[in-house]
Amino acid sequence: MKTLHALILFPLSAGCAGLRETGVASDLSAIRSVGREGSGNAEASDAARRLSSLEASRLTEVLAAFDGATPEARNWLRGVVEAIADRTVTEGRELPAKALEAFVLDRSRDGKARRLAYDWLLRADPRACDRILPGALDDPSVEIRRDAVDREIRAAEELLAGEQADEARAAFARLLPFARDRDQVERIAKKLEPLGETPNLTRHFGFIRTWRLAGPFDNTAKKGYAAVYPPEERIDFEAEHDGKTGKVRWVEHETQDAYGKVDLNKAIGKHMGAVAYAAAEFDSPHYRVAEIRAGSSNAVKIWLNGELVFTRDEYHHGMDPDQYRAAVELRSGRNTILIKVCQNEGKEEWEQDWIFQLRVCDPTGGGIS
Amino acid sequence: MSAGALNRIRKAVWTALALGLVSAAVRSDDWPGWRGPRQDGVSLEEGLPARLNLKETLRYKAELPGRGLSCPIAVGGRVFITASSGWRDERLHVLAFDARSGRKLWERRFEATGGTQCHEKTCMAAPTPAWDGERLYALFATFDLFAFDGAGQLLWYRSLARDYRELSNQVGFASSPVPIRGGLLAILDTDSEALAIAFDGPSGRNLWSAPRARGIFWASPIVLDGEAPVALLPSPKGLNARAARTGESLWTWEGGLDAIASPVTGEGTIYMPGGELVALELPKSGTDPVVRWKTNRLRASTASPLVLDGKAYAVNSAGVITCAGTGNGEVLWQERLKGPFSASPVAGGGRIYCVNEEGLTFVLDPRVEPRTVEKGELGETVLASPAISNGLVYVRSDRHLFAFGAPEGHAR
Repeated sequence: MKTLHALILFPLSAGCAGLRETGVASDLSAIRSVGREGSGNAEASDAARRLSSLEASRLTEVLAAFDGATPEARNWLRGVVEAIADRTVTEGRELPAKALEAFVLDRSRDGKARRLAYDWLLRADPRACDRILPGALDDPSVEIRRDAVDREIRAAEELLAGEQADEARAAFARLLPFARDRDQVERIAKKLEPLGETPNLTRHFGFIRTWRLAGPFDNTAKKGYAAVYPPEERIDFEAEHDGKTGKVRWVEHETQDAYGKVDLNKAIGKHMGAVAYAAAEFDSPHYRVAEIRAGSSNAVKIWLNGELVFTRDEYHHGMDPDQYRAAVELRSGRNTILIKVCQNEGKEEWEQDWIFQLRVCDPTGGGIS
Repeated sequence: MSAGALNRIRKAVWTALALGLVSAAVRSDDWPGWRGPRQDGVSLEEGLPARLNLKETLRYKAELPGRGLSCPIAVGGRVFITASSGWRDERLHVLAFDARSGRKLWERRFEATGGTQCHEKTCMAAPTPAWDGERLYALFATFDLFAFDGAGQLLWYRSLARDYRELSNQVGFASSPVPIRGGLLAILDTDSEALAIAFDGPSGRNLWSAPRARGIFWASPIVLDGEAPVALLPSPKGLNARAARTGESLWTWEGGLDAIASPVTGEGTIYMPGGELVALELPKSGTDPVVRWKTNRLRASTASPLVLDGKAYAVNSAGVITCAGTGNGEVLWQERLKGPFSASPVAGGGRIYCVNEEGLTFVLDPRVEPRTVEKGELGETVLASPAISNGLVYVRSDRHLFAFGAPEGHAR
């Protein structure tokens, strides 16, 4: 009778396991299919509930689904990973530390998934950072790299505190090319300067300092943001255009600011309710994915090779070098970047800035010269 | 809309206001969102602590993983709270604590999909979460919106910054969404995009959305529950009432309102902060809203006003609390506390609880003469308004969730 039961039940249980496997893949697929404005949320919700009941041994399967996922899908998947891991820890059971560490070390995986795996790995094994971070200075995950750089900065600072200036200078100089976040870069640069080194932060970040400028065009009542002036249709550095106060020609301008800030009030002249265009040519030896990152106190539009890659109709809410980011593809050879910078008609002192800065970098934030 | 239907809705609004109905889906001892069960900052509980300090009334303090200007909410024995952290403030946290012990029940961490630049005073965990009776909603200043069940299971998610690409407030978005029956209502006003959206609770899809005048705006809406729930949407140019489930515009009152402090309702009136505090009697059947009184003696600051037992209170930027009668707006008394205040005052058991930005606490009892002011010191930055639930007053700082209760075995 037992044999009969086994004969009947084995195919059934094997079939259920197969269905279960198919179910996980199907559920991950449902989550990866979520779209804008809540589309696919109902299916994703059901899938997330089932996936959240998985054992922790399946965590890396969920993490692997981050690869190529949209930001919406990544947050759904985070919800699943967090639910599984949090429940496992709360119940006093062990997380799969070895599998998580292998996932963290696999640089082909999504950087944000690797960082999430790293966070949970540290909960399971707080010493794991001693194994992972020394080799992570060039990690494509900027969050893991940040921890690795921070660890090395503190080590170099200890050398400095121990009056080992030559060793400290060498350590900081070796570290700088790996640093990506501005606070860390500036922290290293401030240590290097008294030690006789002058880091080139313009090159480090990839700020563009040489531009051709055209303006002012009209932005009365902020209408210039939507208006299409000739530079948006075709860039012709020899052309003359009708501007807000007369004829406008392209003029060359090189900023001396290390972070590439272009003060349009000085470069073009003080105008309120005005639009300026800045164009730069950027040579890439080969095709590559990159990011254009810009900062401005003014409303901006950015084009790469004629394609609109970023827009923001917002005025005087601060400026930061990485305020705006656009993922782009540089073509081999010459690339043309165009930025439109719109000034409103504000009367307050803090509304007088007409300024921008722009850099080209790899996806981690490392400057491309 | 027919005149008859409009009149029915107006009547429902008046009934809801008169009865003090805001949400039928929460218990009276819950604090389910921005400014509590009636969205007026007032708890109906008794037996609350007479002072907020670390020695006598602190029940526990729980560590938080990041900053937050969002207020704690308390529902069904759990306290929910949001926080943000990271070098670029890109990590978004949603946490649940056991209300009695302060033990962390669960935490979920997500990534920001919208921009994180903001004024240094604020952060991405600025809007207060909300509970609609079934679901917890957590909106962040990055315009990431999450819905959970009480156990932390993600029910749905919207990246509103990707749905509406121009949504951006680089000073720092902070308007709190409020629950509507079976859903959520949010004002999403920025310079580059502005709209109000009602979200369907079960699916997260838009029930409706309505464009608004562009401009940064931080005040929160109010939803009046009842036969026909009504959304009251403040803006710099006035107040717009809409049917909460359909978005149909019912009426508009034009006048300048403050962009930061939020209005409160009470006694059939909405009290709207601005250069003046305006007491607007909400329309009865077939009538228009009527300004009962307005006074510049209750000028708005960051803190929103409070209405309690026939009196209106406002805390100004100098740290002075002013009390006026709700009948005519006449100022009755003023008391100098120590500012500045970002947190709005809350009240319960007849007492008023205020916490300034340095973490100094003030408990006023306006029922007795002279008015008593009990003081305490938390030693941490506090920008979020307190919450009151089940005998406890909750305060969140940049680093901790504090729970204060009357001392055990002592008369409260």
